[in-house]
Amino acid sequence: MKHIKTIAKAPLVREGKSGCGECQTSCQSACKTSCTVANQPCGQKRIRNGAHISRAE
Amino acid sequence: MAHTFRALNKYFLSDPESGSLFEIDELTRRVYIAQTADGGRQGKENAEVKDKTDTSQFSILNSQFRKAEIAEAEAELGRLRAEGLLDAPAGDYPRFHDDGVVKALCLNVSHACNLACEYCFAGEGDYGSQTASGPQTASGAAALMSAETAGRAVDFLIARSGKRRNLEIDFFGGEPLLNFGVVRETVEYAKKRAAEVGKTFKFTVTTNGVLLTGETADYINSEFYNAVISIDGRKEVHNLLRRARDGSDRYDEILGNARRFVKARGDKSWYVRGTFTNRNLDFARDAEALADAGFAHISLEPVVLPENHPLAIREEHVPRIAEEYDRLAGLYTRRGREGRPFEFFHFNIDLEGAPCREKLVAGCGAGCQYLAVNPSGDIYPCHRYDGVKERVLGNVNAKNVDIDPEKRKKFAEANITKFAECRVCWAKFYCGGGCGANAEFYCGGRRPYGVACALLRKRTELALALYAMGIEN
Repeated sequence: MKHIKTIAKAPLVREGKSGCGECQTSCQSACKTSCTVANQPCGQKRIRNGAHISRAE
Repeated sequence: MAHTFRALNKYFLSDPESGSLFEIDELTRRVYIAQTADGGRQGKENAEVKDKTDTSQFSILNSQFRKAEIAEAEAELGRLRAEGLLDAPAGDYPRFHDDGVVKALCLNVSHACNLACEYCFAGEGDYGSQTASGPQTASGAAALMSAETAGRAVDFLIARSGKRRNLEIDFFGGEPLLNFGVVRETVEYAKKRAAEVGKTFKFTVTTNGVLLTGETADYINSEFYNAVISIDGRKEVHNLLRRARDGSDRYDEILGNARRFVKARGDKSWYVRGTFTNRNLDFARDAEALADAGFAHISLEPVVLPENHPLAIREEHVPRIAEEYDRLAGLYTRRGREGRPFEFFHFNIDLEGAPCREKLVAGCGAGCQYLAVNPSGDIYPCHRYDGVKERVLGNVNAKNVDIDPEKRKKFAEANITKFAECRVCWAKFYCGGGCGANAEFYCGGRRPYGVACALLRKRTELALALYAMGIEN
């Protein structure tokens, strides 16, 4: 398309994930005061953006 | 209806129900706004695309762009709609099935603190020495959790965890390292119990860093999945509000402890976490100071205080904070280009590897999957409720620990469908309905805490734009 670039294609309506509950509880991460759930990875999958920075640095 | 926004000098279209994200040109943005008439602003109950287009908006468009180009943009938007990627209808949200499972505990092992931070929601760390059913120390000083109570909390968590394999315990306070002996004893006990029942514990600690030295630091680096160290950023900002009880300056000591700790941490998770108040609305400088000090994993959180508190973030501060988030995103990208990157917790997002819809609908799980236990063993919906006697759900020291099912149900039902404001918000699947404690404490439980919502939306716009840039690169 000339005017629109698709970055993500309907990730919320895909089948295959079903609330197994094995993911981290959002308040156990870093905030403790401002709820954000979308930046929590599913299962063991690492997140984008900051994920390129090794914690060993 | 989708949300259009500008971030990092680009235009985007975010579709709330499908989660689709598009980078668009200015013409397409204008066409979409004209088609949907209210420009993607929040607050309209009707989330469907209007049949009629806004003729006045189109008149302006026709005067500024070629008709053929407008038709192209309309056709492309139409194609996305036909594919169900844009203006997707609200589907049936998965109902959170409360199976009674608990998977995470916040153990407030210390109601004491060696700092006296003015903005602390725990009343400068000691929670006002409140306990609903347990003892305070004879002197009236704040209480520390006993190893017995912590052990019972572990037993409670395992007993209530159902089929969940991965369980979490966050040691919190006050300052949890003031009770490090119990922390260590609890970790060892939990590991032993986990091996017996075939589960895994992930331990986290949230500490002010004063005692993060020597064997304590080594033990946490060895056993803990995540560590959060509270440092507010620039020295003068930190010292303004995070003072020691005797008023002394502990900044250099804390910074040194944190540097040594993270250097030895290897690839395990950690964050340096600061709080900003209305005294440092230029908090991007604090992120920069932390990054300059060598900390690559940073979280800065807006302070949460009643509106009349002198340090509170109020609605009037939101535009200034939004500008500062833009500045922070600029710093984030610039340092990334220069090979000196840092991670900002709220800019992390992965649309492809995001949590499932069930989690995105249910949010943090406070009051059901996630609970807090205070030093006397009282169980609260989360750490924010510690000391609110009406919200006690039970006590881990009771013979048969019983969680009040009616109280639990109230929290289990609190999700993105609870408030009208959330149901029509484009960012609902990014926050999961926000913090229930904020909604209750600051809005009487009648609506979400609007200041936090506005800041969440701004951070999410930037996170999505950064995600798009990551795809391009």
